[in-house]
Amino acid sequence: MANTTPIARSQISIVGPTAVVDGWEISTVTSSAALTLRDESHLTKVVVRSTDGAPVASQLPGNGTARHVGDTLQIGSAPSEWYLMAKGATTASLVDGLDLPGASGYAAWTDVTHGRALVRLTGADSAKMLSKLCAINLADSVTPNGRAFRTSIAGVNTDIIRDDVNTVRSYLLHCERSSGQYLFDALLDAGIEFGIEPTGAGA
Amino acid sequence: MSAAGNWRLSPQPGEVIDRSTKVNFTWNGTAVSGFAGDTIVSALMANGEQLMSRSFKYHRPRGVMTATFFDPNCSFQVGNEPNVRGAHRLVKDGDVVQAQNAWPSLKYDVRSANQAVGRFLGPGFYYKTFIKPQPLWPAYQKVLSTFAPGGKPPAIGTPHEIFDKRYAHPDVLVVGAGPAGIAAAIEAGRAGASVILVEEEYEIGGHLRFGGPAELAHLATLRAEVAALENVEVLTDSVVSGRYDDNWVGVIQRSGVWSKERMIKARVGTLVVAAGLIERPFVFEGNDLPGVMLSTAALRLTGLHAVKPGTSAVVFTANSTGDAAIERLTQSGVTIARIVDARKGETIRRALGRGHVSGVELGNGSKVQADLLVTATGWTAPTSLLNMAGDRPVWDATAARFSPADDLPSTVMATGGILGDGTTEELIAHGRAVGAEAARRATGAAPVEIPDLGRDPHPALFQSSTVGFVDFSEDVKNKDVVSAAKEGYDSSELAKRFTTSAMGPAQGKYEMINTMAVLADATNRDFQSTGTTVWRPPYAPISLGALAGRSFEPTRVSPLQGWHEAHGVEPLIAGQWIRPEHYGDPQAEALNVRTNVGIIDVTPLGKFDIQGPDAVKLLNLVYTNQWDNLAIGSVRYGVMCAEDGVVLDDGVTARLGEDRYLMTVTSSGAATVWEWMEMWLQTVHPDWQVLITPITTGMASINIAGPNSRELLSRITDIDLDPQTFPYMKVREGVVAGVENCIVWRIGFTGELSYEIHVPASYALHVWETLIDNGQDLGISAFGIEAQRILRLEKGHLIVGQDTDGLTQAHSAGLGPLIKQAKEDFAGKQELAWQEARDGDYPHLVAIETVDPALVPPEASQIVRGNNEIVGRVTSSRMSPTLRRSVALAQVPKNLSTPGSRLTIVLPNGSRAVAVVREDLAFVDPEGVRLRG
Repeated sequence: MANTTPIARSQISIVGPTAVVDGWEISTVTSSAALTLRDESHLTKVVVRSTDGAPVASQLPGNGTARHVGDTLQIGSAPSEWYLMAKGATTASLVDGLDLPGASGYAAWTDVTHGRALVRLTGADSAKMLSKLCAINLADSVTPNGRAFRTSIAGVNTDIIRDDVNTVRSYLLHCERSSGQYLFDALLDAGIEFGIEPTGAGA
Repeated sequence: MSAAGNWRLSPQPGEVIDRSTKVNFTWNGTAVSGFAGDTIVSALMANGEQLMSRSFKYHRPRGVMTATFFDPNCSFQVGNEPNVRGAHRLVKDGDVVQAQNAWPSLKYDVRSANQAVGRFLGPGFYYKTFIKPQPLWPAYQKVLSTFAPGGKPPAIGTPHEIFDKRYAHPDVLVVGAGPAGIAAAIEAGRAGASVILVEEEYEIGGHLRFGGPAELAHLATLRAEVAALENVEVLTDSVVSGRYDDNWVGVIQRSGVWSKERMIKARVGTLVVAAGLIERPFVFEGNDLPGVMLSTAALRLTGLHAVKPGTSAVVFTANSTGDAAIERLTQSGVTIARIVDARKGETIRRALGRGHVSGVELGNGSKVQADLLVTATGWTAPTSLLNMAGDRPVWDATAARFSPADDLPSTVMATGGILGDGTTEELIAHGRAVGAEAARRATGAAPVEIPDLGRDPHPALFQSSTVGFVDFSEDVKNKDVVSAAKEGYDSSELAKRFTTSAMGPAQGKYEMINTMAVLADATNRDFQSTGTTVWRPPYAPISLGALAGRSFEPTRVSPLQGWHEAHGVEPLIAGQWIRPEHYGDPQAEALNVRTNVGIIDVTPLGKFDIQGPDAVKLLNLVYTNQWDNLAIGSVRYGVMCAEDGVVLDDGVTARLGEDRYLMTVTSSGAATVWEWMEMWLQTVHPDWQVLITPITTGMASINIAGPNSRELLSRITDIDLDPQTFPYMKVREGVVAGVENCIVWRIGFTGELSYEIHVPASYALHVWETLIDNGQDLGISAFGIEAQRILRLEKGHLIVGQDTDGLTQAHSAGLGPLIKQAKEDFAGKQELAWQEARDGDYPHLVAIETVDPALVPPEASQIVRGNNEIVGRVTSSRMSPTLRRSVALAQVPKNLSTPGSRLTIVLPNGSRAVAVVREDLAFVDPEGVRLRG
């Protein structure tokens, strides 16, 4: 068998210097722009689904909401569907403690680390920028921090989580991996008027 | 008139020009200058230019009339942009401005000869004259189209600017930033509402901007108040194009954004319409001559742009705005030759002059010399947005204008001049109350009392005793409307369409009321019963670019796309997917697979992770064949049919664990199959414990095909590839090229020994390059979709959607052995039972060989018999590099499906080709020796 060292690569191409961290090639570009876009596709990602009545539902956030539990972001992304994400975690650790077999109902999880492109948009103008691509009302009264929803961004079916960073407005957006580069480019294009810059996950 | 000299006034208190910044541009080829903040028109007038355009039909000379966006006489060609509103567009350094609709020059336009035959060019002239003989219409059309007005659009292929869009969800959206509108926005903002204030001009303020010191003081206060509110977004040079159901409001931003224009799609809590009033022209002979303008135009030109519009003026006034114009003109050094006060019963009869006003004939027949005639004869309420909200305005005979009826939905309110008159203080007070109430309605605060805003009496002035224009854009006169009424077009809607009055760019803002007044006179009706036509969106002309907005066309690519591009791939656009069609020579790629080894990126293959104790029930339901006995580690091919028995999709599914399956479906069918399975689970079997997760792009798929594929794969995996332990139609999980959690399938679409590797997508490039590196001595090369299609056709494998269509039931696709009627149930079972009972009397998929082996009949070629009766079609065809002859599949009727049947194929050039039906669908290796080796 060939002696090889696999390197994981995001669907979103990297411009500028890179480093390999935890087996992933990531950008080390640093931006101090007021509005930044960062590829976080390297986060470990798991989707949990259940049938009605499965006990796992009571262990995870409700539909449309997200919360941090330790290093893990738990997202109620749809009825009986949750995404769990964390940096550098194993898939097993993300679902550890969840009542997946269940006494009633049924639940299962699938590793989607490599199947979802994930980016983070951060900055005070992030909502204004997203409003160019997305028809959802992004006002605090409707989509406050911790809100999760699924909508079309530039024509791509995208999951959005309002996940502010140190009180700065921030959104996580993830979509099917194959559309990741398109989504990233569309976001950068929409952000030109706000001075958006890509920043690296390794920055 | 083009008068040399300085027409620029000394600095004015409210002027918007920046005298420290000079702007140079050309006007019909002549160098002209202005100041930053000048519109094209104000800059031209400051240089003494009064002639701005030629009219639509008669090519009459025209000058500034309203000095607004909608000025019907001021559309220009600016560079390659046609129909630029010159009384609104700010002039830029380097602009190349040209008049439209004039030849050979604006001053000497030969088509002005139309005026001489004007009496024959009345309403309906074209319809009546050119309707017969009908065969000549194309010729007429060719000639008449040369008379069409307007500028020249940029040539196809000219680089265009960016138009984009934005969504907004304000609690309150205020249309119009006059005193009432600004006050409404301020108060709504102070109540905590999110507010958008939309203003058509470049600055907020409305008529306060060109008012006196008191008005300017009010304006300064309002501007400061609105600027202090972060929750009030002010959009200038923007227009609300329409109001639709549920307060969906379109806003066009014409500038102030990074793109050329932007459409905002706003879902509004409360819409406040504060659109003010539009000054109405008066109809009299010569009312279109350069030098005739509205009082608000005179105030704008002098107050905002410091331009003197003439030297000696007659002012025909019926209101305070006309009085203010008199005062302003006097201050500007214009001699007031005569004030004609309609409130005293005075009137004018006609404007005198050719090419420009030289005097005015008054109602009493006396004549006054003047180069400027200013009229202030009434107002039109721009009720468009209210109409769009369901309001049907009523005619107020005392005020001589329409006003909103009391029938607005609770989510729409009005304030300011559109509703009533008042002092500036009263307008502001009303606006504040409406703004607060608008916020309350949107956010649920306490109710607010709104003061009354009455309407001042105003003389009803529409036309004099002479013949003049009611529509300046369309060259329609009052006598044309009378003619229309006499011909029976006496309803407002019919008269409008017959005369085309109010159908020009201003869309009735200046024309509608006068047209209807003339019609009412001609038909002896009052105004209310005559009515107006219905105002529809858009309120203002919108560029097609703004409507189109940003073009979003999502694409999907595999993680190997970069490699493909770096290696000269010819892309294949397959829906959203961009796939590798070939790398230069698909025939050679196919042949290499038959002789050595090739790899292909098949990542778009639809993939579903299916888990749960009832997973096998789902498989049995959606597939036609049996799934109860599939062992762990085994793979089975299956066909899905809709309930009508038509083939929906196909693919292979592997059993990875006790309750876990990995299903693959066609790339194009992935979304449909997911919906199909979820439909069954959610609507018919919600009790089943089975969950489906699409993982199409989570796992990149690489197919290794060819006699050397086993050797190649063995070099990079620890999975035992011995054909005894890992035979055809089995699946294994393991490490490939150092990547864990790979799934290796022993399957093949090409008819060759092949393995399909599903790799966690982030490692796809690593695995692909490792295969390339390790396969050099084995003759490895990448192959694309075209080679794959050749190979699968040689093997006789069908493609759903290619060899089937929307009517192809499973038996017609040769899938009979896969239909297990003994199963309890599956989708399409009954229909397929009925098809089977027809004893083969349905189309059949067959392999065919043309008698001429070099002839490849194009796909979709018809198969005919007898007298050109169409009985079938070629579904797939290629030249086989393996067999060096054409190979094809076809759908034919039962009686032509038996081996040896001769078919007649119609080729695109009309000639016929003969083909023979083969015994087997597979052209290459029908026994499957290579596949199972």
